[in-house]
Amino acid sequence: MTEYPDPYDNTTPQTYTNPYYYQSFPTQGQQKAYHEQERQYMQSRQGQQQTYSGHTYDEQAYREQVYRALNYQKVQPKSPAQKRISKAEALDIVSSLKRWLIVGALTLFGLLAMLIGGQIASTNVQQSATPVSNPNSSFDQNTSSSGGFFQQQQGGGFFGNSGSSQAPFTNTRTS
Amino acid sequence: MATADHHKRPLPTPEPPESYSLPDGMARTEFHAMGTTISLLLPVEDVIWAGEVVRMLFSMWEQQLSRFLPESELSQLNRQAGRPVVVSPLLFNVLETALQAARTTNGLYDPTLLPQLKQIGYDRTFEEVATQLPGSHRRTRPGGQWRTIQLDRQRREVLLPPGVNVEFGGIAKGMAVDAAIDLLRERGVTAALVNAGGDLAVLNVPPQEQQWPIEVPGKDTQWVLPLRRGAVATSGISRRRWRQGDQERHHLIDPRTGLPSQSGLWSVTVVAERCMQAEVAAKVAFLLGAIPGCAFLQDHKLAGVLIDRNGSWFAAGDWPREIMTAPSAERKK
Repeated sequence: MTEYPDPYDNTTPQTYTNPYYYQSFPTQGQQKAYHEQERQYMQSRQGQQQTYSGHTYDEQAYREQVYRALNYQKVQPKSPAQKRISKAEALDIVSSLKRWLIVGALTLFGLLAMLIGGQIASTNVQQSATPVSNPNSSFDQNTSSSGGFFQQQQGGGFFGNSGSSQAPFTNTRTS
Repeated sequence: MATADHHKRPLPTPEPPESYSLPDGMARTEFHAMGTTISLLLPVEDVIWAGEVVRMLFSMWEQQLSRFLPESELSQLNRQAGRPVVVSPLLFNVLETALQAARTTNGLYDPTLLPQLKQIGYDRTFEEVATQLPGSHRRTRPGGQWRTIQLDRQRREVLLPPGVNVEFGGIAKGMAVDAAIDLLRERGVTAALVNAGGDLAVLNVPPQEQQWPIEVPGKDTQWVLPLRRGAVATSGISRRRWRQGDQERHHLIDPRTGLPSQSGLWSVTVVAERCMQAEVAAKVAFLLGAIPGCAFLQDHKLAGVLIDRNGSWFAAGDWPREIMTAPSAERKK
């Protein structure tokens, strides 16, 4: 392998005929030799880039995956730290909850009592005044049958003596 | 099963009576209301004030319940269909009674047939309806909209669904007759007869009389009915008839078809406790036809006579058959 001087190594004393040679880039021949060396090196490692599944390893894709994973971890909410409360604080919370429970139960009981009382009162009013067929609505829809229209109070006895030839007092002409 | 006496013999055509006789001690007074002549027979000493009381009653009922008066309460209610309306006790009572009648007759009496009546040309008072109207090709729809009317008795509210209009027809007239009789009884009148264009009711019997002889019309004749109490009403097509195109029209609409009834009857006369009952029963029996009409009257323990277009008659219930065969010449004094 051709050795060529490192252009950035200024520790090794060299003899330069050209004052601009210092820290200058390698010559074209040196660059060609360097590139050829690199190509051969990469070819020698080409088999190591194959994964066991046969797919070509894509470093760029891997980096993107890692990047996404890192970003994902950034937006993950951090679990809050479990803060232990003292016994006194716990007792305070329990007593407060007890108070709210008692107040809520009393309010609910009062509300139910009012509703039941109102319902009983309105039912009594409806029964004493005018019964309606539909208890859910004060409007009475005409769906129930009723046979009381033709009810006769006394029944019969409408006609007198048909034998007497009496002149009519009026008529029941077609209405 | 109903029994019906069927008389097929052609009947003679008697002369129409020129005037009706008066019982002793009674006077007659008449006025016009509800599209007909209201005739009252009252004791002579009561005829002026009692006649005025009854006239005011009929005037008030007409002002509130007539569909021909745009400002009547009924017309206003019909215009407000679709929203609840608080109505007067009178209108609520009549409407509630009409709906009860509709329920009892399973809808054969239907107070919501106003669109059908208008469609066949009866959209104004009968005196203004022309005898010949142009034909109409619009389809009529059957009745039954009374089922959708809602009443709130506590608030006296009525809710007519949109498009539903109420027309009481004869039941309001019958109820007015009943109300007049009740009013006269409350005011101490001893005997009275209130006749609203054929819907009549009596209070007691006239002095020195056992009954009220009432002329009942047939197709070509009439009979005299000895009425002691109760009410009489007749429904028929002898008077309110006209033509629409080439179709004969009359005011008795069958709610099953929405068209004028084709039951083949000419008239039906019914006797009942109250005039409103007689009026509704006569109309329903007319719509049912001769034999089913007789069965209907008997089922409700009502007496009546049904006349078909040939002049044959069918008696139902306790109707006095003997008057049907009595010589017509003896009916007049």
